Parts: sequence; C-alpha cells; structure tokens
Amino acid sequence: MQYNYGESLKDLKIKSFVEDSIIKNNMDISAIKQKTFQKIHEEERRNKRHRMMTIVAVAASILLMVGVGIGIFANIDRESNRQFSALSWTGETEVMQSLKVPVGERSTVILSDGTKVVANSRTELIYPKNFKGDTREVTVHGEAYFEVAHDTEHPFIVKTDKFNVKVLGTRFNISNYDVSTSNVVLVQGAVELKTQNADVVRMRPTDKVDISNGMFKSKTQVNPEDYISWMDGFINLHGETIKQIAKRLEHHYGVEIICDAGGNTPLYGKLSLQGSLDNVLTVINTMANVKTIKKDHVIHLVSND
Amino acid sequence: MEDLARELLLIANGNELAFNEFMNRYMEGIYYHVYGILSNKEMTEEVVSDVFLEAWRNRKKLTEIENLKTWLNTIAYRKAVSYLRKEKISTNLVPIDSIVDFHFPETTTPLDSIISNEEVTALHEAIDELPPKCKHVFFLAKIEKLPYAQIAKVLDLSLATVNYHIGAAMNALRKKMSQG
Repeated sequence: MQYNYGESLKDLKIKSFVEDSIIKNNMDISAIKQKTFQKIHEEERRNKRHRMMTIVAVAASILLMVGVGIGIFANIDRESNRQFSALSWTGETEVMQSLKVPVGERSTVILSDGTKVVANSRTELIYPKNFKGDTREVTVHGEAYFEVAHDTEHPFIVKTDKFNVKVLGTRFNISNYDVSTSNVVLVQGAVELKTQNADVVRMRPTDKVDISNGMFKSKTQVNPEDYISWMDGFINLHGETIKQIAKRLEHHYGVEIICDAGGNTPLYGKLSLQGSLDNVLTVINTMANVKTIKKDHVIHLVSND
Repeated sequence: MEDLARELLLIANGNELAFNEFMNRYMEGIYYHVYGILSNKEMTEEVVSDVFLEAWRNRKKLTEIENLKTWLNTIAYRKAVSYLRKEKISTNLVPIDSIVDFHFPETTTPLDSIISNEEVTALHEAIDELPPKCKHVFFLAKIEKLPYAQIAKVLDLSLATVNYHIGAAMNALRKKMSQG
C-alpha cells in the first residue's frame, strides 16, 4: 500500500507476510448471520405489531372496550402541565418515562411492546421507554384504559399504591384516583388482581372489582362501556346520584365539590366532559335544579329555591 | 463493483438474500476487528450481529455511503468499545478509557510463499509485543486493507499518528527478521 519495501529478501518476505496473509479462520459465520437475521425479524415483528395495535386500538375503542380504571386521587399532584420526563432509576437499566395528563384532557400512549394506554385527566403514568426483563411493569395514579399487547412470556403488570393487576393480553380500565374507592373493570381477556393485603381476585370480562384501601371489597357485573366512555369524552348516567357524580368531577377536574342540596337526586343520560368544569356544572344545575356557588376554591351545590 | 451496487439496491428494497451476500463480503474483517478488541467468541458474535443490524436499519442509505468498509469498521469499533465498557462496569472491574489490548488474528501464508511457517510465527511474536493501538492500526491496514486516511477516520486519529504506528510495526517486523 503506501509502505515502500526494499529489494532485499528480508523485505520481500515481510511484504509477502503483510500482503498475502490469510486469517486462520475459525469464526462461525452462519451463526452470526442467523443471529443478525433473528434480530432483524424480531425488530420488524415489533414494528408491525406496533402498527397493528394502533389500528386495532382505534376500532376496539368503539366496539369491544375493556376498561380498567385505576384512580388514586390522593396521590395525584396538582401539576397541570403535561410532562414527559426521563428518570433514570438506580439499579435499573430501563429508562423510565412519566406522563402527566393536564386537567380536563386525555392522552394516548403506545408503549414499546405495542400496548396502548389511554390516560384520563390528571393521571400520572410511569413506564419504561423500552421494556426489558421478564415482566412489563407500569405504574398508574388516576384513571387509565389499557389494551395490552399479548405476550405470554412477559406478563404485563399495572402497579398502583394499593394493588397490582397482572395480565397477559387484554383490555381493561383502572381507576385509582381515590385509594378508598378504586376499581378495575375488565373488558376482554383475563386478569389477576392482587391487593396490598394479598387478596387475589381473578377477573372475567364485564367484571368490576372494587378495592378500598388495599382491600378487596366486591366483584360485580357491569357494562364495561360505562366505565370507558370517558375516552370518548362523556360519562353514561344510569341514575347515579349527584353526590356520586360530583366525586367523579372532583377527580376529573381536580377540584372540591360539596353537595349542600340535591345530593341524592338521580341523573340519567350522557354527561359530556369535553368542555370546562363551568359548562358541566351548568348542565347539572339544569338537570337537578340546583345552583353553584364558589367559596374559597370549594364548589357548593345549593338549592335553587 | 457493479455487483455491489446492485446488491445495495436490492438491500434497500429489503432483499434478505442480497443482505446475506453483503454480510459474507464484510464479515471476516469486521469479525476479527471486533474479536481483536473483545477477545471472546460469544461477545464478538453479539456485537458483529449488532453491527449488521445497524447496517440493515440504514439499508435505504447504504448507496450514499462513500466507503462501506470504513463505515462498518467505525460502527464495529464503537460498538465493541461500548460493549467492553458496559461489561467492565457490570462485572465491577475498573472502568477503562480505551482498549486494554488488541488481539491480532493468527494468519498463514500460501504454501508457495517465500516466507516459511517458522518465520510467520516469529513475525506474529513481534506483532504481539507491539502496543495495542499500534496492533489495532496495523490490523486495519494489513488485514482489512484500509487506506491510512480511512484508518484515521475509523479510529479518530490523525494521519500522522496512523503513519507513525505503521512505521513502528514495520520496524518491529524488520528487526525480528534480522534476528532470524
């Protein structure tokens, strides 16, 4: 190459060594190529599933709907900005991301395994940028709907302060805004729920499990659609009392509402949560014949008469 | 060269057979480059497959790359060093800032060559005694047959440094041959 060799035999020998040398080859070329193609195919599968899940998710949110809502109201901080931040946890190789949904909004996240998560107003979701290890784990404070990508070898676990939900591939809604009245609603598939005091509950589609302060309270059959309609911006009312609805509005908008009058009035129909809190309260005022008074950041519902 | 151009177009369209050929073409040099740094078969296979995975990810852009050998060797070098660094940290060894040693592959010359097997062995002994960086440069120049300017790019060295290492290596070989 650029090196100038002399004419001596010594130089010719060195030249021969340098230019004619062949590596004594003992590498396993087919093993390496196989490994490379494996990695390529794995990556392509993941990308494909990612695209598929997005399409399925859109269709499913209209048709099938499995919702699990986890809301832990007490733990939601008042932060109203949507924040994506990368926290590096010691001892973990997973880079964690956190999502905080602003008041009155919803956010959809597709996780690295293709799982779709729709997070409701004021919900905090913590998840790894890329799932590594034997299980896929995320943490929720607030309310979120999950469509978990099927992967039997890597169980998906939703953690909350007071209970965990373990799934293989399914749709469900978790609400844990309030630790004393949290619930999980299963839309499709199967999940196993384990509370803080080790109560284990297996759930089937349309099951709703209520959990209070880390204790299993009850399992009932519900119409899952009522528990995931928030994704479409409304809640279905089947005679819930104003008191119960006020609780949901508190979680959704991060306010305090006290029912001084009309608290037991049942309401029916659809209540839109698309607009501001004032708009929603105006609707309730008309339906329940009450009026709202704001006092020291607390909203009072008082008799109209 | 026309074969390569056609191969790259096929690869850009996602043709795995063409990519298989592409790997055959570059495998040996990349493998022994990475092996030189890691000195471990399993680790080397892992890193080399990552290098080619990276090439596949960039398959649409391969035709625009000026010198594929330089490009692949640069990726191989970076991946091997970062793998080594991770490995050292996870096994609680003292972190290293660069390569501790470079393992030069064993070679042989054709039977009709003017150099004897004994002389080849002696020259390998001389190479083994060279400083790691010098061996590394010599490997890329003589085994991978990269031009000096390209070696400078791969290892992020100045051309003068590359020349210096080649000169040092050749002097060591000369000295060894004079002894014998």
